[in-house]
Amino acid sequence: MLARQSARYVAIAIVVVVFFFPIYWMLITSMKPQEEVLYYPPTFVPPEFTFRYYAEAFDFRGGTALINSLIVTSIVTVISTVLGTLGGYAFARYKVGGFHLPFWILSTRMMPQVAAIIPLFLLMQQFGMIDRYGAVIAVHLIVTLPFAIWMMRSFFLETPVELEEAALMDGASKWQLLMKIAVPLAAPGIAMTALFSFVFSWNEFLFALVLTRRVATTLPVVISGLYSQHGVLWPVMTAVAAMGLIPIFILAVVAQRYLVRGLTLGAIK
Amino acid sequence: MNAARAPIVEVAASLAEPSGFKAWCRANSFALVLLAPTVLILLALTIFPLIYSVYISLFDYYLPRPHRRAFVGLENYGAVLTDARFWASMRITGIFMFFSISIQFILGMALAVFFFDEFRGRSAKAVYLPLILVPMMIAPVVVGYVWRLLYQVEFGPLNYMLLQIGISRLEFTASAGTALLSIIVADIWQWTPFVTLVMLAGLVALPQELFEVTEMDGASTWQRLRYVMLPLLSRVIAIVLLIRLLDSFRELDKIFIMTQGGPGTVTETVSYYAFLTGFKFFRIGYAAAMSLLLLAVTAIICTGIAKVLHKEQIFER
Repeated sequence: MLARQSARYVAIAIVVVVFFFPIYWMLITSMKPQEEVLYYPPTFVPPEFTFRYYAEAFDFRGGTALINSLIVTSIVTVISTVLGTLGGYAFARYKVGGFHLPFWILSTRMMPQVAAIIPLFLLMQQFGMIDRYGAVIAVHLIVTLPFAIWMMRSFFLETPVELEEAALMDGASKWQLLMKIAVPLAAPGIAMTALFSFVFSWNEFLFALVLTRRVATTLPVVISGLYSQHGVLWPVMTAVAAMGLIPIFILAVVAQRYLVRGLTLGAIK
Repeated sequence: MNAARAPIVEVAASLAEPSGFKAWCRANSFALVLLAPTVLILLALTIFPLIYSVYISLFDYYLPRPHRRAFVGLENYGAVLTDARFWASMRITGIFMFFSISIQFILGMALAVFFFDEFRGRSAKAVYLPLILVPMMIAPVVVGYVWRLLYQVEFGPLNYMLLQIGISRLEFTASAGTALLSIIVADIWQWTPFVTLVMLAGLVALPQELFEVTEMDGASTWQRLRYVMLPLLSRVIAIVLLIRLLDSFRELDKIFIMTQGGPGTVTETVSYYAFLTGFKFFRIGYAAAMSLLLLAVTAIICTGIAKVLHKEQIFER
């Protein structure tokens, strides 16, 4: 029994190490002195830690990228959470468009990004929107809005409709039903939708890469450009990447319960 | 008499139709107002650009010279379909999808069953679970970087470990023989936790008595998997495979960071080739035609899936 139990712990340890080691490696690389990174054999636990590469990364392009990402992602999150709540409610309670309208919305999330970005790039170019926040924000909505609609639809389908029926009898308006009853009941769902929208926009790469140049570049775009510009400056590069991990760690801890639902667009609880 | 009456009936019916529509609009006006902004935004950002893309695909259009584009009809589509590099990239995409999805599925399912047995009868939720979830949450660009770091040929940790167990150094992404495999490994690392997590949620949602009964009957793990878990989880499995299928067909970010399609073109997926054609070779009309063909493939998969989902009510609760 004891042997069996310890075998299980060993198995869990192996799984955790396999899935977490790459992240660990990135984090320690960002804290090793530059010469240490190029040592062979590699040091698995660095003898000294330094945070100076974080300061360097921030001064370099990491700081601007971080601010850009925060601006874009916050606006995208607000818009998709608000519209997702309204639209999800419409689908859950009124069944507008039957099956096909919601499915069309879902399918926009599934289309190859490269098919969308070719015409979008040409259009944004004609409207003089290249390298503007507005272009990135608009295009990120393709990713987050369908998600938010489906997520909120699944949350509203779960909240009891009886309360709203009772309020309707008492003469409440449809708008009041939504704002006073449905929204407070679905509040955890709204918070989760916002958190996931944030991460999807935060991680998005191709759209931002094509639509930005120097001014509105988001974090993934700056990360992608670091290698070619800086050869082997691994600590600075990993420091920029590590700064981008912060919201992700928060999500992994806070939203653990809702991760499945978020990642399957509300299809699985 | 009848002949004279028939048109009146038809007219009456056609008059009833719009008022029925109006009534429907009135009943649903609130819902329509709620949905209007979303539908307008998505029309403007997806349908309109796609129509524009169809138009662009009819031109021989070199991006730096927009005024010298020439109308060529459907020639771009013919050229894509006879482009050997396009078909090679389709083949690479197919190999990538097949191996990464099937291994993710088998590994992810095995881990889900393992963790499920581990969790049962224990109130303390595992604190280590968030650590496993990180790979699928981080940006694909960062995944690419992390693996580039691990794959470093001279001073990377993987080669160091391989040497310790007596295997000679590998070139990983730098060699044509192992480049695609290296990307598949990174993809498996990134997405196996997703399969595990969703399967685990599916298992937890099943009636737990089932497992107690099968355990009392002395069913082996394999029998439980084959006759209880897999059939009951078919809906969950369908959704997982669907999401992975559509997402890996679009794979581009990791390849951009790790290999840029190389060495040569051995890791050039079809999404990446379309991206290169448009934004590196600047043959934007040709790229539009190619990306619309990709969209058609996705649309066919989606329509098939929509039929299944609609019939089985998979996306209902």
